[in-house]
Amino acid sequence: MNKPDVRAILESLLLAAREPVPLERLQTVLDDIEPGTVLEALRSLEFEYAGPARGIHLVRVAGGYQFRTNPDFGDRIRIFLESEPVRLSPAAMETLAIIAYRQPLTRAEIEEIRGVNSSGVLNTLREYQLVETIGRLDDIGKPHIYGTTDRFLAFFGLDDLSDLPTLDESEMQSLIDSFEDLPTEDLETPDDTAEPVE
Amino acid sequence: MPDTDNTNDDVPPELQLDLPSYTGPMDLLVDLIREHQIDIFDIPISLITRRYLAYIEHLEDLDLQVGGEWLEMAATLVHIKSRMLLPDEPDDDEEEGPDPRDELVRRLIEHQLFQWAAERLHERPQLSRDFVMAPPRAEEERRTMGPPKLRPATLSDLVDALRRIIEERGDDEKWVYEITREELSLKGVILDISSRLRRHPRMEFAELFDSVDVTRHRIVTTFLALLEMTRLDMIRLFQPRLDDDRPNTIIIERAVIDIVDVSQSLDFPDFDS
Repeated sequence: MNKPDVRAILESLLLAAREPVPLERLQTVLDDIEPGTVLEALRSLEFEYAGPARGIHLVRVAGGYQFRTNPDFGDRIRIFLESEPVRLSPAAMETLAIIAYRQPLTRAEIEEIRGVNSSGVLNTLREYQLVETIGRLDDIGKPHIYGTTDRFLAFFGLDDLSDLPTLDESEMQSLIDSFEDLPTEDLETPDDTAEPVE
Repeated sequence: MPDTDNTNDDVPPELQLDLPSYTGPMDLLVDLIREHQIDIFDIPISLITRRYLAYIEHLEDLDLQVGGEWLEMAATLVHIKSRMLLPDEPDDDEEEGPDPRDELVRRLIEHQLFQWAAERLHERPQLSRDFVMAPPRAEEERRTMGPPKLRPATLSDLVDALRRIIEERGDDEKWVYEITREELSLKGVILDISSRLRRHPRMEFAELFDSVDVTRHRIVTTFLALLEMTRLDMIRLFQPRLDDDRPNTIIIERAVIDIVDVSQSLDFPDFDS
């Protein structure tokens, strides 16, 4: 089977998919084709379905491949679907950012950073399924430990948490220079080794 | 950040702050530091404390409730200020003790870092605001399109549906006296339902009673058949989530492909006679 055929099959599979499809799953379905050929075909599709001239974009989100509409046309899509977008307040965005970069963490830890009560805004984020309880701390009151969901990744078009925006080197350096004694690892991506207590 | 255009002539200049815009004490502190073009690593703590307390008093003057977090920060500021006034301990004069402002500065920087991160995140294309996934499916992506949503039917839904069939189609006389007795067994009804479902994976409950007499015997047997088939995972019963033109229709869905074979292999004594 030659490459154009593989591309066509992949296009069909991705259009039929209801959620991001991991590479391995595509390679399993196309088990009569070299895994390398599948990957190559995917890469070429990804290159093709991109940019302002295409209405359909192929993106890598939440660990899989998925077709989505070109973000430039969000306004028209909303008119077409007569849909209301999810609107996140600045407080919700701030809380979401804290959870995304610092997870896993408890409400108390969120509030320590924000300096304000955050139970309302946490409920909102949970309703939107952007954050979830990923464990309970073995402490007084068994507080919930929060983390972001796969839907969070899909929502912001992130492949995984390492895709989160980071300070570029010069920005980070200027912070380090000006404040040597302070911890500067604030915006490192979350540490996978930190396991929550179930 | 607060909008400083919103000033009021009755308020002394040092109190001219846009109250509702601050999400918390950190926000206010950052704004005060920006406004006075203060070096964050050398905060004039007296000035900031004075301005901060003035703001809180202003809140109280306006009868706005001052939350605990505002008072906590006020206490922190006053504490730092008092420690700044104390002379260094004579014992450790060779090494400068930690600056009492360090912890506050660390929190301010951390707060600013997350503000930055939140803004970057917000700028990204967002699901439902900027794009939808293919095929569109989530609630916020498509509100008015798509097939009616189904939910699993409960036992009482099934009883309601049976009751409606009796009301609409039941022949009163037969219902009460039931003179004729049909040749109707539980297995026969299951086979009948199965053969219909083999052709059409989904059917409506009322179709089961098309072109037959609705007798008590048939009602009870059909009811038992549906229960038995559900128990054996041969079928699933659903109801539309939205009550539109056909309220409370029960939808019977085939759950196995070889449903007729399965029902033929069923083994239970005939219900009849």
